[in-house]
Amino acid sequence: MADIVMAYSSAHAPMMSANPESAQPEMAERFFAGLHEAESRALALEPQAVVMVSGEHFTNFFLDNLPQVSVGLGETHLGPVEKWLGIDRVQVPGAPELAEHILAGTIARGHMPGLSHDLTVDHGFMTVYHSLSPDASLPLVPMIMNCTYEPLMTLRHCWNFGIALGQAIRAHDGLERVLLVGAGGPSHFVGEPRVGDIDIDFDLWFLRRLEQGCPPDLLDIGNEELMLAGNGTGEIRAWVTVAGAMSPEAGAPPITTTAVAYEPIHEWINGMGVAVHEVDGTIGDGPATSIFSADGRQGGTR
Amino acid sequence: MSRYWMQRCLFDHLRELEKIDNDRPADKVETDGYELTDAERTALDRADVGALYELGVHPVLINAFCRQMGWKRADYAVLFPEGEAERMRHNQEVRWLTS
Repeated sequence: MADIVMAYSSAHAPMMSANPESAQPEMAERFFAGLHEAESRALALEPQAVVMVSGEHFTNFFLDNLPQVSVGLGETHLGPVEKWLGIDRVQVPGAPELAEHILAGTIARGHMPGLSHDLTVDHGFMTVYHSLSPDASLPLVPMIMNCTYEPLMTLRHCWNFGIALGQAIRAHDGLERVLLVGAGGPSHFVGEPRVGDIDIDFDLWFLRRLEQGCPPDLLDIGNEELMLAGNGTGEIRAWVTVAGAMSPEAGAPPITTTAVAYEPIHEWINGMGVAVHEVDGTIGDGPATSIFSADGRQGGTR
Repeated sequence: MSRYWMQRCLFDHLRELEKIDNDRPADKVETDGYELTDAERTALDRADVGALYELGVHPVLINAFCRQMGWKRADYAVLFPEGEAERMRHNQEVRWLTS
């Protein structure tokens, strides 16, 4: 049976690939240090495939047919579609057997994801995937989640879907080591007058709640209240899905969740966070340093 | 259905721009063949982001369009109705400030 050897979640702001030098150098350096730390820890565990959950940006789906979740079953996935992203367009290898197992397993557990054999992976996936696997060699199962067009899944719903996802992956006997990644969020405002605003208070509150195992005051936040933190902030649905998949209810062994980076990078119009979920006993050099620890403070107000 | 077709027009335009062999300029939205009101057609023909926002185009589509135009935040923030950003900023109690 497969193990989810580790999970992490990261912001996927396009500017992190398209124009990273636009940020204040020290802030970009701290964010990328956190992201690269997550990647190093993950790659040291030799994953055979990565399952990535990210928000839809009307790249694959339009309002004629918009699933809440779609699982990419393709042998390959073309991406990125954005010519300006700073990443060459490639055919990313898929993991169809794992993807089909995830689809069937989450349906068997009461959820109703859609499917596609022809998903395109935009900046929502490729900024984070390309950083993890620059040669596009690690097989990818993309899972696209509707995070912006109402009505939306609640965070509680995403957590429960994540539990089913984690159970489904762990029941797969075709692979031994799977990495799980969430991409998107935290706070940002796009395509509206507040474009560029970042809700630092929300971001730090969210990252702390993630470290605490997603308590009810996070999971039970209503969609309207969540939207007040940014019309793009709903992409934390991917983070919560990943957290659910790494919970005891999902069959995960004891884990430690750590927020390893947070920088409110206004030039990228995004709160840039990274959090890791590591299986206790597999952390070679010890647990990662939290931004909330005495010696790990990287920014923010809380 | 009109807002649907307005957004559909923009969605199709974005897909066209992504093609490797595309030669259509980013600000030249093809509006022929779509069921549009005069205001919608004018907003699309002029690439008027402020008007598109007021007509109800989804922000994710607006953002993708602005990215294709090469606009950064400072470039397109000024295109929205003046004062709207401040009006939208809220003083409501949110749990991340009270908990």
